[in-house]
Amino acid sequence: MFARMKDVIKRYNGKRLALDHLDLEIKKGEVVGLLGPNGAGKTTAINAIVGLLDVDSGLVEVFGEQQNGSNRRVRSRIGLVTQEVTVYDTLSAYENLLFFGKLYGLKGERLKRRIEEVAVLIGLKDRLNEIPKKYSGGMKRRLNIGCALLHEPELIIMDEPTVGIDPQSRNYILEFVKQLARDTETAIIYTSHYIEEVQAISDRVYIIDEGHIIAKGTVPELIRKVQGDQHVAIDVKQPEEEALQTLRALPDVKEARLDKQTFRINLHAGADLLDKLIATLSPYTITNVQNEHASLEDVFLMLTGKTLRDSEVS
Amino acid sequence: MFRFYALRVLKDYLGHVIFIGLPLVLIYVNMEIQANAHPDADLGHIAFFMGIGFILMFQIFGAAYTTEGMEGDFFTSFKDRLRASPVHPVRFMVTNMFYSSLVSFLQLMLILAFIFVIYEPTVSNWGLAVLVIFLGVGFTQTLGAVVIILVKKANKAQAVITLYAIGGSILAGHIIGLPDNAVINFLKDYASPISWQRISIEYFVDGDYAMGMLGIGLLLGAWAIILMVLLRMSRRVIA
Repeated sequence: MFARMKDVIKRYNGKRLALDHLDLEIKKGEVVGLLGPNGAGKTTAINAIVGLLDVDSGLVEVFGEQQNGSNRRVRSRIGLVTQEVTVYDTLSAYENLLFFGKLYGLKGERLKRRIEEVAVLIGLKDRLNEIPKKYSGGMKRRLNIGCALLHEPELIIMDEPTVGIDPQSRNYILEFVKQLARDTETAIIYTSHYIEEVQAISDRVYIIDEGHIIAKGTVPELIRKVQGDQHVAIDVKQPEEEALQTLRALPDVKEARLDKQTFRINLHAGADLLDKLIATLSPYTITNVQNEHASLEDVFLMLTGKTLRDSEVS
Repeated sequence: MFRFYALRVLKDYLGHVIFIGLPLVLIYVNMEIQANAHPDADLGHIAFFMGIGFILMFQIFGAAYTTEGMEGDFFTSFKDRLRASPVHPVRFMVTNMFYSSLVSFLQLMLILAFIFVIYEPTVSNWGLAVLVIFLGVGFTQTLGAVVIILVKKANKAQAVITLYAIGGSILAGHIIGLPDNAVINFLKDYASPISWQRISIEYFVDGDYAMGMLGIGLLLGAWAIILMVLLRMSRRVIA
């Protein structure tokens, strides 16, 4: 277990309850999504794990050590990607990476090599000598992430890393996070307001509201809580019965039948199988696809009685 | 890390223009006026003490390096990123103050060098004057750190520092002529660290080492007190 919070309570100024008996766990190599509205306690939970604040009671353990505001040992094994872009505008991207690398004890050849590797990872290899002021919002965000990766942390905490950037940069970052978790077995805690982001990258999701976890599990597990089967209807020209056998052999397919020109397929709730279904039916001319399934947004709505966007506005 | 803090201060080009260029222009213009008004006066001597007046004033404005650096590090979203690193936050503060002091001191030395090159003053013990300026820079940057921790905004801190710079300079007799009486003369010599530096330099130049050391002693005493205040505050606010 890389990080664990057990029955954690944190009050600000002795009054406002920010964490209310919070339980959370993250294992090696998994991406954990932390989903919740503003003020739900996401950042407080993260700060407790990093050691930026002391909790009032409960256990916060990181890499087997009790974490608190004065334990600096484990910090060199954690990378924090802050919600706001925290790079120095007057220094070049290279100098920023150099600075943050040195903060974590990197030097000499290792530091140079890591800067080169990270620059490739974040797609800024050819623009390292420019100052971030000249960068787009997405590039700044990528540099912000890069600064947290230099020391090869075993646990990376990303606090809303895609706020305020264009969809292209957002997709780049999401793909990058997925690749990072896959290739390096780094554990990642990813907080976001954007449900679709959390749904896309998380192995497990914690939904947090008013300081405590109201639901946890994989995305399909959470979706199963609010929905029965998922139904897909695919219309094709000149369908053949034999395609049904292939469809039925796919994992998560509970039932498939042909209704005139429409294949009707029942899937387990939360299954992400649309690509495979379409590929299976690709020998035919597909004229229409209908996919009726619940999303994490529905889960959130059911559990909290509000959408994330509503809670942002309020 | 150290290189970064040096770079950050060195790359403040506007700061260099203000803290070096402005006093040089002011000294030059004032000296032109003095030269026309008193053609037979010892212009070198006048230039030296006028320069010291400007140096002591701009030394205080130089606290902006510490206040702005610390605002960026501890009173913006950077705070969490820096505190999340294995480096103790007080080290960021000390490093920032060290390079701010160094750059501010070098700027002031450029002003002094300008005076020596252009007006060729013949003053003795000017090396001790440099020592006093060096200690004054350390005191001022420490004061800047205390003020920014108290007010948390660099512009507010700078307003406080400016008030102190102008008030202290007026009391030290650097900006306007003050009446000649016992009370005013006492205030002129002992009212603030600016005065302590001025009397210290004047006594050293006159060869009165004991009185010169009095000014340094007062400055060091005040510096020690605000350093203790700073350490106490920094443990509570930024660590």
